[in-house]
Amino acid sequence: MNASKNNYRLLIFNVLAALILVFIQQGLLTGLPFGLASLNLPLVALIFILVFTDLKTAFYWAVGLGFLLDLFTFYPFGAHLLSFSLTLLVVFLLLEKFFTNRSLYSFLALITAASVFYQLFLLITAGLINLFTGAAGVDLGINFWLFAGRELVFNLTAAIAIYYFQNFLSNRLKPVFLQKSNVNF
Amino acid sequence: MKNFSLRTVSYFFAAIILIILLHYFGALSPVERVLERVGNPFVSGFHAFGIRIRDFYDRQTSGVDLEKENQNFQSQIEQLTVEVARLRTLEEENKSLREQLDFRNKEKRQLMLVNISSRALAGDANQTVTLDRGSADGLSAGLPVVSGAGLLIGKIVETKKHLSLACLVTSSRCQFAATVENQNKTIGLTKGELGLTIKMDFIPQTEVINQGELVMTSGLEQNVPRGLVLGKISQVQKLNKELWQTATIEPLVNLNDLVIASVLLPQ
Repeated sequence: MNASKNNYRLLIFNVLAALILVFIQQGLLTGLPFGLASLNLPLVALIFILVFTDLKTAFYWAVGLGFLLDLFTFYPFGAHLLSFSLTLLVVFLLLEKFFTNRSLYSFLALITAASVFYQLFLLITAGLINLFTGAAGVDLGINFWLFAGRELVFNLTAAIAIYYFQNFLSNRLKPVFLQKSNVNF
Repeated sequence: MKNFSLRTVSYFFAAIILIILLHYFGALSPVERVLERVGNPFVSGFHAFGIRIRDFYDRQTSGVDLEKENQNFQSQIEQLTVEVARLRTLEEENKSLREQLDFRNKEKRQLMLVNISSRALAGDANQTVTLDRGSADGLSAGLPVVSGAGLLIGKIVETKKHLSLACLVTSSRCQFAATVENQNKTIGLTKGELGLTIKMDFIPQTEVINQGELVMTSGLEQNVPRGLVLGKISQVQKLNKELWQTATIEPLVNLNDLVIASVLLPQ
């Protein structure tokens, strides 16, 4: 009984957190100076969720964030849903195969990969859905590449800030060293 | 591999495909409607807060001499007051002449107040804005969007049930049939340039246009009435070898500070 109550609480908390994240991304960031609209906060949050929890939880978040962004933006419906999920899968494989530790460098590499793959998947999925629905394609002019470059820089900066903030709050990212005195041969 | 189950991933992707299909078949409409209705005020509120932060930052860093700026505004107000008085007299005169000639009343259009809830996230950043009303409220592509003072700021390009996407006049996606407020009422086509200014093209070489002249819509487009001000000519490019001359227009409204706008509804 108590466990199911806790599960509901956790679900409501996660849904509210996803909603607030999308409102901040769509409302607040697009109004701020310095081109801060380029920061992809949901993507950065998703990578941190993947690293700190598990693939299943991160997938739920990817579906929730993708669905909400598809509702509140003018990309063809499904583009964000698919892009977030595919990016998550790629980042998960990279995390398992290549970046096995939780150092800052691993995070930065993962965020870089996520930003690049996300833009790529968004272009492909939006293009494919537009092909079916007959809508106009995505403009790949200079503005698009400038935006993509800015997004990468802002995402990396946000990742560094969140990494050190998390490091300050908990021990989960602090390296552990085995002391010689504790090791018995 | 830890945490990784091909079956789980397949289930997730199947669920995503199902959600997308349900959306396009309209089965998710009730849920989407509720989320959009509930979410729109929050997104608009967050956006207004973001704009306030941008304003504060701009004021702190612009280095403008406020006293000097205030004096300039005062002198502009005085000039404009005289101008308004003169125009009021002309309006009265025009009205009485129209009545005498039994002219049909000038068309009156309705305005719909909209909140600007967001700016585009794509590469066209800051050149398109999202409005918190959509097709369910009677909005459709092609309708002009004006600022509080009645200056043209853009045009709706796409609508959803409760949201609309509008391109700003400085966006390359936004084109208007326009006319210069000179003696000949020179006509041309305006298009946004680099998200900063507006370029007016297809002006015949024989026309005389000058810096400082007002540019407004010509009324040759469906749903866009004549007389909506786009901006002032800041530069004229006239090359003898070219067929047309072009003009650079500066918008009279700061497109970065917009929080509320109005859409001119069709009659």
